[in-house]
Amino acid sequence: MTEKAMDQRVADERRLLDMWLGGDPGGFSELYEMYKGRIFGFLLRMTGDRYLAEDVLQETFFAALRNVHQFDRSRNFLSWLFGIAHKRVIDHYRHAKVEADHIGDTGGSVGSKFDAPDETLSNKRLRKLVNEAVGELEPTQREVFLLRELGGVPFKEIAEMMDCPINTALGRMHLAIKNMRKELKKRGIDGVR
Amino acid sequence: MVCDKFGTIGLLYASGELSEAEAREYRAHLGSGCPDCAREAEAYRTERAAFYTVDILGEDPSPTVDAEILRVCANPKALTRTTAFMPMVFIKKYAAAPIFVMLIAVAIGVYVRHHSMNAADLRAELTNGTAAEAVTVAAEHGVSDVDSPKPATADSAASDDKTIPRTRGNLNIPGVHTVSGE
Repeated sequence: MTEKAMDQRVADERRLLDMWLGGDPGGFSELYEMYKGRIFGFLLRMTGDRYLAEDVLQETFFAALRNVHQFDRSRNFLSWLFGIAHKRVIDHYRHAKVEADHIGDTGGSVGSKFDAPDETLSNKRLRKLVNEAVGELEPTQREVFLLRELGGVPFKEIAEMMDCPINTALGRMHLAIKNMRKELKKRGIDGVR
Repeated sequence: MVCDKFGTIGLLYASGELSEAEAREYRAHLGSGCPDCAREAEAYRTERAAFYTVDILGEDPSPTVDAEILRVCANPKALTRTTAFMPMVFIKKYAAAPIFVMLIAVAIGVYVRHHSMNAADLRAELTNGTAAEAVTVAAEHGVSDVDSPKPATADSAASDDKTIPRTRGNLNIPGVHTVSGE
């Protein structure tokens, strides 16, 4: 996304947020349409289960509803939503007491569990291959990769979310990029480099 | 030697997290012709544009979930209700605590009161029993000027009665049992 497009998005986001907080339901509907795909894509890849991801998606937006008045307007709204979604996923696995190996468990099965129902996608095959490659990433690399690429979350905030130094987050992202390249190449998507 | 600046500064530059001075420095580094950074930066830019887009990585939830979220969140009344009634949420959440403490305090009060009454009865009972014993012992030794709990008659003093303390705890019986001799 170019800098200009990013600025436009932030401006739209603030306008819609004001509408929503002012009591206009249209503001929320538009914000939801703008971001649901990103957040649900993140949740789906983190959980590997469509039904669970849908539950966490609802929890994320309901939590946003409850806490929207505490949202710091100097921050990016999407990053804030991703912060909530990330925390919900972690909480879910903490409660299920399988946190240690949750993402590892889903590694091999991610592709089979969340095939999109929309058959009309022209880039369905590419989506499938890229999603398989994402599924092959080591869990912490996948986490950083998705927060950055889908959420546009700054590395500083990713480091805070993952409770690690910023250099660790950057290192994981760099490895994720390299591994994605390798996995895509394995699947016949070449010419990247 | 391979330059590894892309893995740190390069990624921060791509995400727009560098200060103006740092960004200028990195641009100068790229401009100086670092082949590793230039290659990495170009590859990442291409990959992002081709594969790491919302179209590829994003997913849509089912329409039912969409409808439910929109129903709850897009309703301004729901928003108002949730924020306006925060004190009620707090009260509902924490009201049980003082009630529980009060119940515990009442239970302790009842227990202490019950036991202090028993203790008072027992003390009174023991006092009576001790006085009666003292009268008995004094009578056996021919001493007459011992305080008695009740005025003793000449008959009873002269009699051969034996006095024993009554069994403790039987609160309905006066403090002294008198058992007649043969």
